[in-house]
Amino acid sequence: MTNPQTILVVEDDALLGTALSEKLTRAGFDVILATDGSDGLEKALASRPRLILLDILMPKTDGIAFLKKLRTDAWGKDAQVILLTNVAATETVAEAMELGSFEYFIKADNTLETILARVHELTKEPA
Amino acid sequence: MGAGAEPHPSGHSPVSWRVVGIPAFVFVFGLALSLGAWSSIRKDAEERTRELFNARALETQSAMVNRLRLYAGFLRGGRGLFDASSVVSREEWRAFVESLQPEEEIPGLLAIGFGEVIDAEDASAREAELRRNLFPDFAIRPWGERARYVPDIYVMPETEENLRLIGYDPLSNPERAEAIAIADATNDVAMTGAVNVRAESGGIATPGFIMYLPVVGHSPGTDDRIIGYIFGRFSFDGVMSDIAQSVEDEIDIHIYDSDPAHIGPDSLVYDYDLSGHDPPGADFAPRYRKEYSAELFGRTWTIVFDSLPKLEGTANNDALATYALVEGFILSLFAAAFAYILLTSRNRALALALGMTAQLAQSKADLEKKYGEAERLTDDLAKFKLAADSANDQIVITDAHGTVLYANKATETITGFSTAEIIGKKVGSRELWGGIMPREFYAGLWRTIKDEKKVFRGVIKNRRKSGEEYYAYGTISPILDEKGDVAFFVAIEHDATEERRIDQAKTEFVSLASHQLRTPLSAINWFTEMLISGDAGDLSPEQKKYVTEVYSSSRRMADLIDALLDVSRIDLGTFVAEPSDVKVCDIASGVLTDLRGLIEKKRIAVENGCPDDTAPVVADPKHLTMIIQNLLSNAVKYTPEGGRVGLRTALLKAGEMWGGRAAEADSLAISVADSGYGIPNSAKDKVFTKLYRADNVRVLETDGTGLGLYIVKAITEHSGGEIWFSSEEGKGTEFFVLLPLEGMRRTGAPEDAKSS
Repeated sequence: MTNPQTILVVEDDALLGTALSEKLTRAGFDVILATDGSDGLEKALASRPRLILLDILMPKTDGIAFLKKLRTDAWGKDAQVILLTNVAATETVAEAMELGSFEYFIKADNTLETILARVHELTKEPA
Repeated sequence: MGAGAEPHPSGHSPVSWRVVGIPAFVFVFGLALSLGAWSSIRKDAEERTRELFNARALETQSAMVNRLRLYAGFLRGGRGLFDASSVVSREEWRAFVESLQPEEEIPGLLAIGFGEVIDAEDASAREAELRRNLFPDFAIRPWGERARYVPDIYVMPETEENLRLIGYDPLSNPERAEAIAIADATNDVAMTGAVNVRAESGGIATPGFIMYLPVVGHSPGTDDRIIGYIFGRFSFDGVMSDIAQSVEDEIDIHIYDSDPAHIGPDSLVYDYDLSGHDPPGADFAPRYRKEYSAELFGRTWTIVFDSLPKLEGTANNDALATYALVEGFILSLFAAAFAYILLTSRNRALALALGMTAQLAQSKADLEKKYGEAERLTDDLAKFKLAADSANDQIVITDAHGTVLYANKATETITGFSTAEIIGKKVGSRELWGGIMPREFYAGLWRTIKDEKKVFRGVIKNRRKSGEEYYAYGTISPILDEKGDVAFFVAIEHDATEERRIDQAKTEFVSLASHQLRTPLSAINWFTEMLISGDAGDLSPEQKKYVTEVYSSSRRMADLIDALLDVSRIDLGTFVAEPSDVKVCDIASGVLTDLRGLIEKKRIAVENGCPDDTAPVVADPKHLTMIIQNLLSNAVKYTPEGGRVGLRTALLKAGEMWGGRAAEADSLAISVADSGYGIPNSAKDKVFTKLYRADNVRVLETDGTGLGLYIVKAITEHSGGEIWFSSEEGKGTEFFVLLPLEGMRRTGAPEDAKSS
């Protein structure tokens, strides 16, 4: 059902999206890039990625709204999501955790290597 | 009586000359002394009356000027509304005006409105539009060819009379047009001279003035162009009503719409006598006069104050002067009589006369001294009262039990309670503005001021009569009597609402800005990281060196933003603790690992004195990390190469000692020592201040933020703990932290975290 090497990056900032997708592509993943929540949702349901890297603050549909809609889908309710954010507002993170996304990285404080290492770990686990 | 000065005529013996002359001399001398006393008392009274007059005039003058400034402030508030949204509807304008509570807050206000700028070529189209949307019979009037029109389109309150102002274009009237021209030139409030403010609305002729304030457009197409004018119409009688009330018939006020050289009946716009006060009699000539002239909002005004009979009468000390004169007269007479009776023995009479004279002189001196003291006291008291009443901060004096004896005018303005409601009540009771902080707070406050007899300083949350809560910076001082007991308390409180609002806005701004800054920073970090790791091909050693410099600078910026975010969260009160089981030694080794690069570079010997068997404690791991991380990184940063840094931790029972202090409860104790630059004595009381950096380290280490110790102290105090240090410049520093185990278990952020 789920594509084992596909990673969806939902990120409205074009530069950050590019950096993430290049790093992951180089590491051998198939990367799909979406620039907002609704675009991301369409691509997630169509391509069923192994992992979703999700930004929180985005125009139109934001990360939390994306998660809420994703969890209503039969496949999406168990999809694995890592939050990548620059907003460390505790309540937002808590809300995301209630929606079944238990990991988050502050973008400005983490290297691509750290994120990549975590992606490797997660994708090695059985889906 | 001149007889004494003449040579003896043959028919008079020397004895009879003495019998008449000496008593007469004694009498005249005594009378002269009394007259001297009388005139000196009169002169003092004169002085005092003049001071009273000057104080009254000054008080009234500043009340009037402040009132005009206040009105201008209301107009500027209206401009703020237009600045905030490009289009302001009639309802928004109404809501704004109602929020000002004009009936209570703006005495004398007849109307406050908005006139819209309409260019000549758009006039008929805009008229039609306003007829459709606002008033069916809207028309610019009086009609005439003008380059532009500014018809009133909103007027509040919407009384029948005020609604007649709709459509009126003040540019049609030279006096109003002149004020508008000044407003244009200064881009600020300008006022007309005295005009009939009901001329346009057709009411009873009322002298007053109109204030205009230009509003500049901000939306596209109207950028930086004046789109209209906020105006306020005021009647002199209304503006002056309560000011006139407060002068209590002691001074007469005349306001002229001209400079002092041209005052006269033609320029007289307000006369205290004609506003329901009894004019003084026709033959009354005021003893004091003071002229005050000022340019306010584009007009020159002159105010003339004259003393009234009541003021001249109240301050007179005629009674005391007369008493001195009568007493002097009687004593002189007495002395003369004695002299006459006892003149049979010339020496005795002379001695007696001298004695009486001395007594008279003494009596005069006593009287003068007594009067001088009384006058000085009344004078001082009057000055203090005037000062206290014109202060912007709340000043309250209570007896030793907290019952209010005095409250200044600002107390009324700030709390909303009238002096009559306040006097005699217990300060801090719920009947007044107090009583809404935790009971322990008040208990602690009373302990400080009453038992320890020390000055209390702190932030106090109060409640206005309207129910609105606000914060005040307060100082409460006990005043002790000769025996060292509390005689009364003086409390001065400063309403901190505005400061706190600005603080909050500032903090929110920093928080938002930090989020915004992080996004481009992430891009810099990630792309340089890819360059360094060779994702875009190999770099030459020099390229790699430079990109690494870029990368480490960018990392430092990220750290700085994190610190700023922490500080803004602390200041906002949203610094939430999330306790869990933590091992302090794990945190300490984690921090030391992070610092390894710098430690090795500076060849610093680190002694980790965290006992491995330390039991886990319940605390927020992030907060604990921040404490240890900041202290250790400071120690490493501010220790020269080859120095030493030591970390110690312990779990203490209540009463056990740490760094010379006894723990008040079971606590986690941390200490970080270094052999570094040390803290200079001059900086010791400031190191915990936000953004403060001591001079010696600012020169040596340029990349500190000045936020670390502030954060550590805030977190420590948040959990009820304490932090202190001992330091010697050139030798080193040791910081000590005590964190009560109970305090670290608490979650959330108490609202009054800032009030300590």
